[in-house]
Amino acid sequence: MKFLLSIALTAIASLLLQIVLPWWSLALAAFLIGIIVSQSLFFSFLSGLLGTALVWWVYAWFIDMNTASLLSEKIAAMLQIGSPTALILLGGVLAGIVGGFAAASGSAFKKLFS
Amino acid sequence: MKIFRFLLFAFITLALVVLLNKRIVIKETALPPLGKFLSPFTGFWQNAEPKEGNLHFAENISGLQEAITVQLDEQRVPHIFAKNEHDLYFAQGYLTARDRLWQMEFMILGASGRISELVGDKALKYDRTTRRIGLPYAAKKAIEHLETDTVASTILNSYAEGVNAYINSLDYKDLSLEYKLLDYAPEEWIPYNSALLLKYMSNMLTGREYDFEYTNALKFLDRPTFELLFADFPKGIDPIIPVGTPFTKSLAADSSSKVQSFSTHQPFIPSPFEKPEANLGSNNWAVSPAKSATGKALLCNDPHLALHLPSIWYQLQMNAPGVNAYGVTIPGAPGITIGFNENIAWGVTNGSMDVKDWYRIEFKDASQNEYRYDGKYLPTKKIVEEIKIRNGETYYDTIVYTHHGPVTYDAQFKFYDNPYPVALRWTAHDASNELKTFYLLNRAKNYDDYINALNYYECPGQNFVFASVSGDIAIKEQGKFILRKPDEGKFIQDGTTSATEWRGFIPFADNPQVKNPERGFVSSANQHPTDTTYPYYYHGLYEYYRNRRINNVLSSKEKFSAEDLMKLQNDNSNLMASEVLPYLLTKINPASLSEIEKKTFSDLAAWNFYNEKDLTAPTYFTLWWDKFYELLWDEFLPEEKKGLTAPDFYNTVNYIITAPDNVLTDNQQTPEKETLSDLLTQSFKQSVTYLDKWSDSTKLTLEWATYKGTRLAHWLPIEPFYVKNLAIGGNYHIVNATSKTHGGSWRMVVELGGEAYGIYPGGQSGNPGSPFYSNFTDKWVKGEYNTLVFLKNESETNENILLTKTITPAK
Repeated sequence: MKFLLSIALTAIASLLLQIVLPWWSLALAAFLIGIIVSQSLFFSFLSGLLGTALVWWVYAWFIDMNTASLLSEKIAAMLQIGSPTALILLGGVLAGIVGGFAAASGSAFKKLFS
Repeated sequence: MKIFRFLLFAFITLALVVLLNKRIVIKETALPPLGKFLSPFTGFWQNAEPKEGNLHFAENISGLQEAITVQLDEQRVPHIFAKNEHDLYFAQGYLTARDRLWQMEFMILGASGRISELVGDKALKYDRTTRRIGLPYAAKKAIEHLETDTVASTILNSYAEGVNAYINSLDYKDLSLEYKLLDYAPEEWIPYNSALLLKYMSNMLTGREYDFEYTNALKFLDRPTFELLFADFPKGIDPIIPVGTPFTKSLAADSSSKVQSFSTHQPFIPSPFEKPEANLGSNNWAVSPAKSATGKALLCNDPHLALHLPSIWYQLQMNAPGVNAYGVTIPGAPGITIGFNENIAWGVTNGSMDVKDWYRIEFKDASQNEYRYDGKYLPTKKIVEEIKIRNGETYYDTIVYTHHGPVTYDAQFKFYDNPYPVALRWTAHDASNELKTFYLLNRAKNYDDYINALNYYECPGQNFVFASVSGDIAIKEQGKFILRKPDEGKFIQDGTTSATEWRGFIPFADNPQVKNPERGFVSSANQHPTDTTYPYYYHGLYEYYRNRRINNVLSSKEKFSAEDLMKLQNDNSNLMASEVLPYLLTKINPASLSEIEKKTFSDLAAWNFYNEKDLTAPTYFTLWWDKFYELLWDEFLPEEKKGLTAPDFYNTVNYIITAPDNVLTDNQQTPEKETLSDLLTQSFKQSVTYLDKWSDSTKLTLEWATYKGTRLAHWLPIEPFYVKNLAIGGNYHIVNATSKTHGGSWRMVVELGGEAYGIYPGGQSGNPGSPFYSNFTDKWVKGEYNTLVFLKNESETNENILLTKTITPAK
């Protein structure tokens, strides 16, 4: 339950921050949620990863649907990664890794004081 | 332990953020900053457009003086209605930037020798050459001059304000895709940029000459052979101005003596400078009311430039008190370059008179502070060019200037291993006000206005075709052309004496021109402007086939409709093949051919000489000719760089028909003595073998369009942004001049006082993520046209208008 809550909070916080701040603000969001929601380092990492990745996956997928993959096909070909779906997945994974480590940092930070 | 763990995670997080926020170059491949680039909030995803494209316009814009109305038609062409001239050019700048900002700025970086800033030192040679031929130097002179003219200054500054208003409205997420890919941001747009753009076009259109190569050729060709291969006026030309048209001569041209044969004792120059693309060209023509099916004059133009995406042209309508014009511009240039208004239409083709000369310089010593001239030493001027290099140290290049112009080549310019310094004298370096020509043409009402407008036009020389609603047609080759002695400017000249200097220019009134000729049409296709009765000497690099085909067709019927002329713009008749192929075939002994060669031979023998997309004969002919040309001119086209150029196709055809036994025919690389027939047989067999292998390895058929593989290339070498393998016929020297890389970049047909039609390969949007990036291409390939939406005034309703937006000045 805590795990799911943490994913949801990370997603919401990273979404709101990225509307006004550069992409790396997702790390701030994950770090904060890592501090706020007490979990093991592993679960913090995982919820940070999934929370931030989900937002990128859903938003990119939404844009891709609306634009009939016109641009994502070209970018996927340019980066030689096959398909728009792979491109969407890749973006989310990169965001997720950053989010995961940021959340683990937050969790580790909190544990300094426990 | 816990603190160590925290620091480790925090470090990894930060390192990842930094890494993903940076452009990374692995070997030759550069990756965009992946975090930034792949973010759906700010990255490339924000450049993806839905099927209706980008329909968002600002409600108000700071910098406008009064409200403007923009109507956008189905093709995404903006129609600007402004209440004053400032707002008209402001809106043009703003809207052009909205669709094409990256392209505009990229062309400017190219024109000013700043590409190394984007891509690193691999562009250093290009950047140094651009600066050393003096493009930025010329643009600086031009802008100083333009700022003194009220009209030019107003439109340039208003345009720049508009571009900047757009740039200032952008966040990172709104930037064009290419900025995100290469990870940089747009700069402020300044009026100087428009001057640079014009110089860039001048270089593209007048930058090609063969002074070095001709100088070298005289080292081993005798004069009669040189004249045979590189004739000023070969037999059978069909000039722009109909033969028999009287010319005026208000100046005495000095033709007393040939230029001294200075060139014959010059050291050989192993590596001449790189030149702009050959085979650029254009067609234009106008048909008089008497020859028009509807009784209305017709005007057509199709400039053949490199086929790029975003397209080189941008369409728009510009309306304000005193002006209502429609047409195309090159993004970055204010006004309409090719188009029409309620009263007239105009178009351009390149006039190819040589206006670019090289002078050998003798410096006093290695300091290059002084150079010899008329027995004295004159001081040079030095300008240090600062070339910034991405991920590298700034390069400083000192360019020495003489009174002739910049010393393009000297000992510091190691890319070209030439034996002596040369300075460049070029009309593109002189200050002039071409913008005013277009300003006045946009507003012209009749023939007199047109001639008056041209009087401001100097470089690059163009054939301006004209037609009016009142029924006049005309053509004039306009530019600042040099008053030359015979042969002057064909070879490298002696820069130490005033005897070789330009003595003046042909008066504009004497430039080649004709109004309402008897034959009922005017036309040009980069051929000689005149026959030899023109009272001034000139030379240049000319076309010999498209022009004759156009004139043949236009002379073939009594009346022409707009549809007939569209057909002519897309005409694939290969006049050269029809003139030379039957002769070539007689030189081949069919008995000596293999089965597959026989098949090719009979395919060629049965060909109707049209380069249609689905025929194989054009492929066989083109390949055979190219292989033959290489064997025939082995003296000029060896593996090692020899600093020579081979005769053009027309002179080659003349040569093989009139002088096939000349010693040049023999292939010098082999011990045998080859005859023309030997070379043709050899090259024929080579071409068949080559094509057979090509077909095997590519798994493609030999239909002409498939083999040719016409494509629209993005300005950056990113293939997924290209549109490739277009099913279109034509080629160089054919009216439909569509080769693999070049072609009709804007086809326009205007019925004066009636409908107008136009199409270009590409689309209005410069965004590879837009459905309007290349949406015109299918129609263009098929030879179809859009009916252009020309609104008489703001309140005219037209079913093709998609939206109307009033934009007010921001408080």
